Amino acid sequence: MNAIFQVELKRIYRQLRSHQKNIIQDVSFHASPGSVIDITGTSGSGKTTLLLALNLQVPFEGFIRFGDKKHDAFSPPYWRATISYLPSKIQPVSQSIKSFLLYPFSFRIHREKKTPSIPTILSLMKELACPLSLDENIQEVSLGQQYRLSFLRLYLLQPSVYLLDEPFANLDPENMKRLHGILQREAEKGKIVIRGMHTTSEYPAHQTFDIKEGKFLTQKDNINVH
Amino acid sequence: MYIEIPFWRLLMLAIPLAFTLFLLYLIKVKFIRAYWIASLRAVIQLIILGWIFAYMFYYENIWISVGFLLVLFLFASWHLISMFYHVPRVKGPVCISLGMVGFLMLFFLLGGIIHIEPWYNIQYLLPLAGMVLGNTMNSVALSSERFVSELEGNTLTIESHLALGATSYEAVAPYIRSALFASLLPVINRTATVGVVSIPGIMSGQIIAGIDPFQAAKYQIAIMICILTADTLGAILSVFLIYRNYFGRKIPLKYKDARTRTFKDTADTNE
Repeated sequence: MNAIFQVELKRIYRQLRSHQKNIIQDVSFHASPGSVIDITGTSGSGKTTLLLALNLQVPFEGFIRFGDKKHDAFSPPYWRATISYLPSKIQPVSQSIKSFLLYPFSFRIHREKKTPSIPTILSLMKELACPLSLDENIQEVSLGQQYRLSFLRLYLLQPSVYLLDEPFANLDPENMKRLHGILQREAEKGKIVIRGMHTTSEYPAHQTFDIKEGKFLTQKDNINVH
Repeated sequence: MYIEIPFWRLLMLAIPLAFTLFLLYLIKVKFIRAYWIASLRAVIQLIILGWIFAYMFYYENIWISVGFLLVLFLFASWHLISMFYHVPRVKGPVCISLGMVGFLMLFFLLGGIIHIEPWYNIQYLLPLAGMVLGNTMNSVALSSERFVSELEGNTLTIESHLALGATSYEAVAPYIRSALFASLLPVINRTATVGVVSIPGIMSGQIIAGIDPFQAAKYQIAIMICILTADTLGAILSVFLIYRNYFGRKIPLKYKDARTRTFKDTADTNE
């Protein structure tokens, strides 16, 4: 499903034990199908918190709209399966790459979907320069490979909006290019990609927003980059 | 025939105690203090208990029984609360589970199986209440402790599964299972080997007191099964109440955000 993603949040906060701590105020933007959006900010600025909020994992005031429906019209699992978040580091349990990749297909929300075939998975793994054995233990491959495998896991589920936290952090230039290639292909299909970034990368987005001291600032539009 | 132990002979227990303390001291373990305090507490608590019981048997009435149950429950809850003092949203669940399951199984055992007359008969109530509540407390503490530390240790995994559309239960179910496993394994082992490896306390007690061993066995069966089920229900209930406190909402509560201690170091590490 491709649709406009519209965010109007008054504040995003953390529910601490005794009080609420505001992280970001007045977040407002929208993304049309096919767009790539960057959210930049230094460490601790709240990029991750913002991405988690868009995934309904951190509380906020305001609304997020996907298509013509607000976030509270969706069940949280359905929302999160449509607007999915990928953390910058993963913590895999000891298991084979195959069971790691197919684990989400055991969730009720994905059970109806057809499990991807092994050749499909292998060709995607090749494209992302992952180890080519599905039986290897995920804990034994490198961090960069773990990240690419967890991206692949997300890709297999085909969300409508990708929320990626630091997608290029653990990748060398070759692998950045590979990942970017896949993301661009997804955008061309009408998916929306939102990336949390330290700095602007050599693969610029259509639009960049900056978080500074809890404020959400529009930085620049790069309409013609791709 | 019943053999009485003179008080001075109890002092001989100091010999093995001192010896083990010395060994622990040589190995430099951290729990030496806890070890000798536990022994000392056991001695003092049991002497006081014996003394109070003597009075309670003498003045048998309903209020003494009720008061006793209440005190037992309060002590057990206090112990649980102090154990989970710095863990938010866990103290309520553990006390509720202890109270509901402990008393349910206790009255099932007393009223349903043994049929004591009157229901507050202190001779039965005292030892059985201690056993059922004590065991329930133990399994509630074990399962909750394990569950909470699994939540803490697997924050990223839980977050990443939720992020892909897992329901809260799907994201947490593995940790619910491992918490139940950790708390019930000792009970299952004990129940499976009873009579073969270990002769349990109440049966030993009744046999020493001169009761027909076959009668003692029937008591032991009733107690074992009640304790096993109380432990299981207590563990399940406490884990699910904790689960509900964290995940029973549209936006799940982050464990590290809710915690009191060291939140300053951890509140922003998500970045």
